[in-house]
Amino acid sequence: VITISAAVPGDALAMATLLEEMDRFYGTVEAEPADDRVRQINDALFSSQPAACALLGRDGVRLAGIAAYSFLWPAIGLTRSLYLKELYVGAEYRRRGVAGLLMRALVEVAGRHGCSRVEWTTDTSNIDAQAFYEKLGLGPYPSKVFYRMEDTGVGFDIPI
Amino acid sequence: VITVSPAVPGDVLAMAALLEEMGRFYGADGTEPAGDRVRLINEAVFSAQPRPGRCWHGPGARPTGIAAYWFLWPAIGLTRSLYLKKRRVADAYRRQGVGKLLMQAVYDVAGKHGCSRVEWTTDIGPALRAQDVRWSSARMAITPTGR
Repeated sequence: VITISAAVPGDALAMATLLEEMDRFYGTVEAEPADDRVRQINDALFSSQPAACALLGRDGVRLAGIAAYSFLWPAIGLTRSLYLKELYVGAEYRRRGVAGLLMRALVEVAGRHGCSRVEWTTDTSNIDAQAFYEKLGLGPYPSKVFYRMEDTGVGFDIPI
Repeated sequence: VITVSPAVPGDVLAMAALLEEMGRFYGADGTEPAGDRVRLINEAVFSAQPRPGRCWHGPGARPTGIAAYWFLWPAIGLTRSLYLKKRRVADAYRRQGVGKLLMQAVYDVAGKHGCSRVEWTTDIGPALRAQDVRWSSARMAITPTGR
C-alpha cells in the first residue's frame, strides 16, 4: 500500500536517490557528490524558515515598495530558486528607481543563498511591468505553462 | 534617499497599508479588517514554519514519489498560495495512483494553511499549443556566489 507522509530528516538519503532519477529524467548526465546532495536537501527542507520573505524599499520611516519572495526547491540540481511573488512600488514613489533597487537587492539575496534561478510572473495586461523587465534584458520564459487552481469557497479537490 | 532592507516585525502596520494600496491596484474592492491583515502578514513573513511537511513520499526506505511545495505570499488578499515546485513519481511506481495521492495531499495542506490558490508549471511539450499558455514565467540566470 502506498501512503503519503511528510518528509523527515532521516529521509534525506533516499530522497537524494529519487531526485537523482528525476535529474536524469530532465537530462542531467552527472550528479553532484552524494554528501553535497544530502546537505542541499537538509538546507532546503529541514531548516526552519518563514513561509515568505520581504524586502522593503524605505524612504525614512515610510515604505516606498515591497518585494515578497520565497525559495522554491529543487531547482537546478538540488539548488533553490528564488521566486519573486510580488514586486510593488507605492503610487507616489513610481519612476524613481525603486523597483530597480528592489530587484538588485533580490538578486543579491539569491546569490547569497546559492540560488540557480530567479523567477516570477506578471499579468499579460501589465504592460508597464513587462517594459520594466524588458529593460532588465528579460522576456517571457518560453517553455513553461503555468497552471492555477483557485479555492472558490469549497476547498480544493481533484476532479478525477 | 530610498533604501532597501529586509522587513522586520515593526514594519507590519506600514506593510498592511502598502499592501492595501496594492490590492486596490489589482482591483480588489474590499479588504479584510486591519487585525486580520496584521495577523496574516505576521504568519507569513515573521513566523518560522514547522520543519517537516514540505514534501512526501511513501513509507520505507524506497520513496514512491515526491511533491515539493512552498508557499508564496501574498496571494488573494494576504492569503498564501501553495506553489508545487516538483511532482515526481519513481519509475517503479508509475500508473499506480501515486501522483493523484500526492496531489490530494497537496490540496489538503493548502486547505489547512488557508491557501487561496494552488499553482504549478510544467514544460511545454509538443502536445501543448501556444494559445494554451496563460502565463509565462521569466527566469534570469544568475551566478551563485555562496552556499
